Amino acid sequence: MLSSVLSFGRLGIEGYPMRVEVDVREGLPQMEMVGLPDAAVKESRERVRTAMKNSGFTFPPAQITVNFAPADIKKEGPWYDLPIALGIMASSSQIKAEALKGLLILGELSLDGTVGKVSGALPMLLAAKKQGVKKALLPVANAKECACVSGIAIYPAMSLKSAVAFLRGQESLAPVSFDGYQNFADENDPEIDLSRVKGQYAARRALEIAASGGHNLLLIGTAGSGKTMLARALPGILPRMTEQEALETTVIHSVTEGFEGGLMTKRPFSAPHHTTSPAALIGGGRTALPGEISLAHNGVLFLDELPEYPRPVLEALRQPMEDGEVTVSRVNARCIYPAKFQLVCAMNPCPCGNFGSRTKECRCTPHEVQRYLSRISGPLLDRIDMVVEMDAVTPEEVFQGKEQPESSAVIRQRVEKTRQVQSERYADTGYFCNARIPSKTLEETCKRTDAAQALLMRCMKELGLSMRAYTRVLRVSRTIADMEGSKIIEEKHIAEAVSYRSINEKYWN
Amino acid sequence: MIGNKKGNIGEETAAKYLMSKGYTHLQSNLKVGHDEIDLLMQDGRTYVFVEVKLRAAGGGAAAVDKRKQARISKAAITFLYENGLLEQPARFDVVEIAFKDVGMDITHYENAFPVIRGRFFF
Repeated sequence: MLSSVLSFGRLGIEGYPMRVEVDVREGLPQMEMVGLPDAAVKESRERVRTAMKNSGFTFPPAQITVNFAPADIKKEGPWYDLPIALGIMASSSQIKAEALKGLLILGELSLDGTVGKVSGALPMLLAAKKQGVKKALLPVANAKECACVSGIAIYPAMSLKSAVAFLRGQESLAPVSFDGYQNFADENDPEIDLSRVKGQYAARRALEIAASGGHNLLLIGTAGSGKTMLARALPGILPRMTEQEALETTVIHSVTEGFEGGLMTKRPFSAPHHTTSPAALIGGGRTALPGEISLAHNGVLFLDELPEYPRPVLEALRQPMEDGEVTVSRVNARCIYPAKFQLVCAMNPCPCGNFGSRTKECRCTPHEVQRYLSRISGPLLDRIDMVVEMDAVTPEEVFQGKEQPESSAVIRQRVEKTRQVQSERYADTGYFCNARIPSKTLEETCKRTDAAQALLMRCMKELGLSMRAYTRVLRVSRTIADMEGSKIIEEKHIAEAVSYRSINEKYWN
Repeated sequence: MIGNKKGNIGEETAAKYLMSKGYTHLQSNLKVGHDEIDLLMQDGRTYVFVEVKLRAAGGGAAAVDKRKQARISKAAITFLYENGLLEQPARFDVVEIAFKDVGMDITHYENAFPVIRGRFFF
């Protein structure tokens, strides 16, 4: 007898519907699998047989043929154990075939019949929603992250036994309930609270601007000036993720190893070491998995010791930074991953680390300094909105400051207010912060006074800013104006925005 | 030959045991080409190809490895094909007989293994 079970497969983060067809007929006992299964899928033969026997069901001594349709896409992973087992049971009349109708089934089986987690269940469920699927039987471990997909009733399966009892109608399973999106990011203490960062007022200000507008930031400073600490404090002042953002980020993380399940509410902070390969950063591998830049989607990508990164790695960042997404192409797979990350870099000004310091002397020759700095290419620098110089804090700043520095929570409140202004302005545009204003609507969005325009023209001429640098200055000045609640960009806003570009000149010209 | 005699005792014992379970005895030592099937029984409509393993210490079932399974599979398929029975339900059982001080222990493994396809057919 023939039966068909609805399941889903995925390529990268794109799900596609798949049918697991099972035919059981009399004859010598054997189990054949067709439809391009990979090794993990083929191995489910033994898992299914043993799990069924150990759960007290009969594995029919008959000719079993399993087909994965469509048959032209390679099937991966151990996620089809449960559909295969239930298909065999339907085909051998152990459960009713009607019970499987319209029910999406996914799940790995362990030998004792426990249903195990599926990687990337969320993207598959989102695709299923588009296809009009109404109910799904999923591993209990995936239920939490998938519950937020509205319109699909999700039944959590603990074991093959309980799934069968549910399908036979002997046992009722309550669909997983979703209490609406709540972000508890407040309760998670930020890794580093800004109240612990002494001094560095200019850099703190720049960090707040970067957080308010989603701008890329480069911190240049002597060793021990607090660059890394400041960068790590950024997630703590970024606005809490919206439901849409949380969903997008979770989709990407759900296909990676070590994903713990549940909806991610904390902005990702990804800090790959400088020995990282381009493929690990951009995405790659045989199955075109997402890289660090996609894992940092809606969050922060932090590159510490920027000049130590090999050039190909840095240059690979350029295109995704502009597009906000990246296409990873491999022989077997071609996937598009979102990559809207905020880039934060930190670097020393020279090999010894003291160039430009007020207190320490630099031991490097001018040539050495130049060579060190030239590891950062012009095009990459052009894409960084703000460059901030940091010097080591003096003992006076550390020990005589009477006021406690502002805490991350206070700054976050301000940042969220500024973001609110932006999201209202950019409602229905597809972007949500100043750093992503497309050049098409830039002039219209960044209205400025005549004096501000005149200042901008002068700065462009004297600093020799490129057109890209010009648009970046405008975006940053838009953020600074928003922070003050000003609708029009004034001279002082331009002046501050330009100051974050002019530091480039000191080092790279 | 002593070996053969011992084997015959095992097969007889197994056949009796299975008949007591309600199986019908069709043939012993069924020769198909170079291969041999110890017992051919029928359980309801299902043809049962039985491999009998006789061991003083027990544990004989483990001796039915992949290679042995492939030989039995080949013989069974040939037999079913020649008799036009391929569409009929069939399965492979293993009966293990272990001698004890008094009497013997019989263990019956129903549907012990699926068809192993060698390179000889299909």
